[in-house]
Amino acid sequence: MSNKTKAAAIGGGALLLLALLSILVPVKGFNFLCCVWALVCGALAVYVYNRKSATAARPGEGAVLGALAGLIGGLPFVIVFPIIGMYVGNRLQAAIEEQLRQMGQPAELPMSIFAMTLIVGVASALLITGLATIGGVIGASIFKGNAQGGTDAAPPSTPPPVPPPDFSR
Amino acid sequence: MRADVSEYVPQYARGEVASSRVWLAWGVVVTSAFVFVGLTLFAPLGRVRAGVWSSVVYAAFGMICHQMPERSFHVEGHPLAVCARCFGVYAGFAASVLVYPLMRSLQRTDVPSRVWLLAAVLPLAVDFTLGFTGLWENTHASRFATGALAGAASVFYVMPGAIELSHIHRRRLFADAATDKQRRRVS
Repeated sequence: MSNKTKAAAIGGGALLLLALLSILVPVKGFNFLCCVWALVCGALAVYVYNRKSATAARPGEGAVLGALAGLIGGLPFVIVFPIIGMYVGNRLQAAIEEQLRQMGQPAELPMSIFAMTLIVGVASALLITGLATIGGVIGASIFKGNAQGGTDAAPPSTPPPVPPPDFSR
Repeated sequence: MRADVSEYVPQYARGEVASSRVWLAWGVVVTSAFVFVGLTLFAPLGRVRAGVWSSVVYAAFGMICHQMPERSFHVEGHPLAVCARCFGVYAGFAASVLVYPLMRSLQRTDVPSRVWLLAAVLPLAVDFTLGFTGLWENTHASRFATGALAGAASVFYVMPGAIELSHIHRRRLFADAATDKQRRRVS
């Protein structure tokens, strides 16, 4: 597994964990963090990559790392949401149809609950991936000095001065 | 024979670096930012005409925001798909990225010092902390303003990445993985 894949897997894993927590645990303080966790996990992938790599990730590479982390963390929702939809489909359909009725709209859904939850899953994954990508780019800017090789510093633009030759000898 | 300095031809002319790819990168970021903002507004506006799609947008944004109605702006009696702070972040980002070419060259891939980003996020952190601890009751305006500042500042760290991404060949981005594969093949 390459450093990039490893770092993206760690960032994505953390993202998935926090995303599940945001759904399952109704902690007041955690909910207030909003989209920050998605950004932080994108940045985390870059941090891990920088720690393992000789050179710091450039912003473009940060974007790729963040996007990979976002995909790893967000893609499971494309599967999880429809599964939830299958289990609670009838109840969910009834709730949505009731809501539509209250809004004075035709109470028939234009698509199945499965299709709807699949769309929600895809949309959620896209949003998470987008935010993690942004987090990755920002992370690359923030953690640019954290590479193990310390090669981030630019080489001197001019060579050091050479002492004049000693012709006296 | 020595040439006059006026005949010097720069090998790295700034104008040459600019390409359609850079503008494409900017266009993609602008479009994405406005899609985000548009979707948050579509959720309450589409509630009447496109109830199902509005519900889909609410559900999708529910993953990345608490969506508390008392902490959200309302349009036509319905809350936006995200809270006031998140909306501030998205709106600030969208506005800033739109005028980005006027503030900074699209050819630059260097980022400002991280201190500026921390300084821009600090008001948001203070607003959040004071509100969370109950020392001060923050308002829609304070949440929106601090979020917008953070969103606007983050553009200066995101755009250089997007610009660089538009220049780098995809082989270079996945170089790490490619090198590993090659090494494995050799061994």
